[in-house]
Amino acid sequence: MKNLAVYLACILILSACKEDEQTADDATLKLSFSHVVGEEPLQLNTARYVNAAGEAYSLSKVRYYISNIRLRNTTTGEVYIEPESYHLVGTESSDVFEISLEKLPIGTYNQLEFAIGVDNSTNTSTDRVGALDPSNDMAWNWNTGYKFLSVEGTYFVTEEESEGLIYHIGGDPNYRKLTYTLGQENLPEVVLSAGNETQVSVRVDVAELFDAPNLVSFQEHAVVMFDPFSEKVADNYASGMFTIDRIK
Amino acid sequence: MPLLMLGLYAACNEEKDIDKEPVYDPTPYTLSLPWYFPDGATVPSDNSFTEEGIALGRMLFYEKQLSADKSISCASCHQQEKAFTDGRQFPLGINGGQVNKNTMSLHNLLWVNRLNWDGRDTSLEAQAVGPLTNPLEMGLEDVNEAVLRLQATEIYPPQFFAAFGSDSITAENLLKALAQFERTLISNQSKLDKYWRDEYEPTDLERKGMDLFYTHPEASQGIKGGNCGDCHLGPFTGGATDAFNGFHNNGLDQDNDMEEGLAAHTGNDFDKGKFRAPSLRNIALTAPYMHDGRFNTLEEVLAHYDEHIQMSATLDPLIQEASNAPIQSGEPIRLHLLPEEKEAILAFLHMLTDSTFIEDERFSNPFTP
Repeated sequence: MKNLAVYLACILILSACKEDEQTADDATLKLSFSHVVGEEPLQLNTARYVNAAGEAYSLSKVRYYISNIRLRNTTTGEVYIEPESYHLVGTESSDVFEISLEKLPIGTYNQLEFAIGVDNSTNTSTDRVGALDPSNDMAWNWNTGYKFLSVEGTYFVTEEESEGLIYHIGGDPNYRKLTYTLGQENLPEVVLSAGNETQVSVRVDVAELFDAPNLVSFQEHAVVMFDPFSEKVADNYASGMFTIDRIK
Repeated sequence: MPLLMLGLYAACNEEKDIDKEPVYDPTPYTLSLPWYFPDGATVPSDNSFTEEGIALGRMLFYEKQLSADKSISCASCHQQEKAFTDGRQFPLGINGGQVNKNTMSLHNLLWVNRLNWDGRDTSLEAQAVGPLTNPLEMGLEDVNEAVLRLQATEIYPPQFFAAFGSDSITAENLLKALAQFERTLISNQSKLDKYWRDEYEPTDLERKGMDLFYTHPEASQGIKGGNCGDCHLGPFTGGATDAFNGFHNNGLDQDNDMEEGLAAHTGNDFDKGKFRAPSLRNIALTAPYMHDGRFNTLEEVLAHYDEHIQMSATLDPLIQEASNAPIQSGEPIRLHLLPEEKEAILAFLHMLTDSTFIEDERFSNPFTP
């Protein structure tokens, strides 16, 4: 009898394992995030960088939330919204990180939007799983929601003296939506066709986090956690840190 | 859900013994895990749980024939009543041998993919070879020495047949059975678990301790914190499980007298002095503390984090930049915790004791009636 049950379970599992047939109206979009510091690929722990203020530093951790991905259809103006759209992008083992969106409606899209951080309604609860699991080292504590961006490393004050470099940015005012208009200049529209995969390559320049519009001095701000300066840092990650450099 | 799939998938691949007696027909076993435990519990695809494998693993865990002079078993140093530790600074091997690492507590191991204090093993199957063959621990020539002994017994070959479909014992199957048993050691009945399940209301002191535990202090903003939760994450209170992010230099030593730690395994200078941040479940039962058992009490551990942090090149920045008083450049690193704040954190740590786990019959010695 037990064998029969196992056999039935096998049939269920095996049929579940079979690739879903591509239906005529679904396509895949891959967002790939490649991390650089200025012109160099990001290297954790070993590489030394110099910020725009001329201060030396290294990085041991770069992580952030990409959330609420949306696409606007060129023809109909309809907006596709990814359900449960929370992705923790981390750079521990490789400098490229991919988010895969599947079963998207086919069509042409001339606007892509995503946010840095976690939106207010979700940010107030840390009893979640997946990317928002509080064991992911991105929940602050039970009261303050998530770190939207967590960058850690070392600030070399002098050759002999160093301090911890900690940028933990969170809080509702620092949730930032980034909107990209496509089909202009050298960025084509996103064309999703049945059974095909389209790739959007996002270049993430960590140097920009400390540069513009607000020039950051580590001497003044080696540690940014809850202070008002967080908003200046959020302004920086909302402008120029994330650029789309290829769509194919 | 993935666990169940694995179990069934393995069952799918069973070889059907049609014409042999006795019949190999293992019973798949499914662990149920609380919703608030992190994702990423993994079971190797070639070692799914079966009732028979777990039962065999439990016997092997308590089997003294697995040591060279048949004097100790895994359970000699991993004692259930001490949450699978031994109460010693260093475990006692055969002939009085001692390795220089404190015995690690065993619980909720499905999430640990970098085992030992220095992260050198990536699976429980591989990890067990260390203590079995270390001359300072169980001292076998190799795992096959134990295989030959067990093959010569009446009791073990049928058990191996029931678990793996062959009564020819192999080192691989011995290690697999041990790992299956170890993966069933789930602790989820502490007060903290009950709090997460809305079955327990913490006292004011416990609540205060919980807030301090999980908060990184920021004196400039008037935020008080004990700074524990930066490394001991979430309801699990364990280190991060991705790559080596759960390994930290927690300020025990200065550069010139520091053990290699993770660097011994990775070869990276920036990993020097980093050790795994273990889950703190049952921490009140597992003294002494730290990778080298240097602290005898939780009070000593708190005193270390409060006022004895040693500066070094790889000191964790989240420890270096944490204080409940304004940080002055060039001053030694201090948390500046008040006595009543330490008392609250201790109360929280005691919330992590799981007395159900240490009395669970399923994990006890099967050879004692």
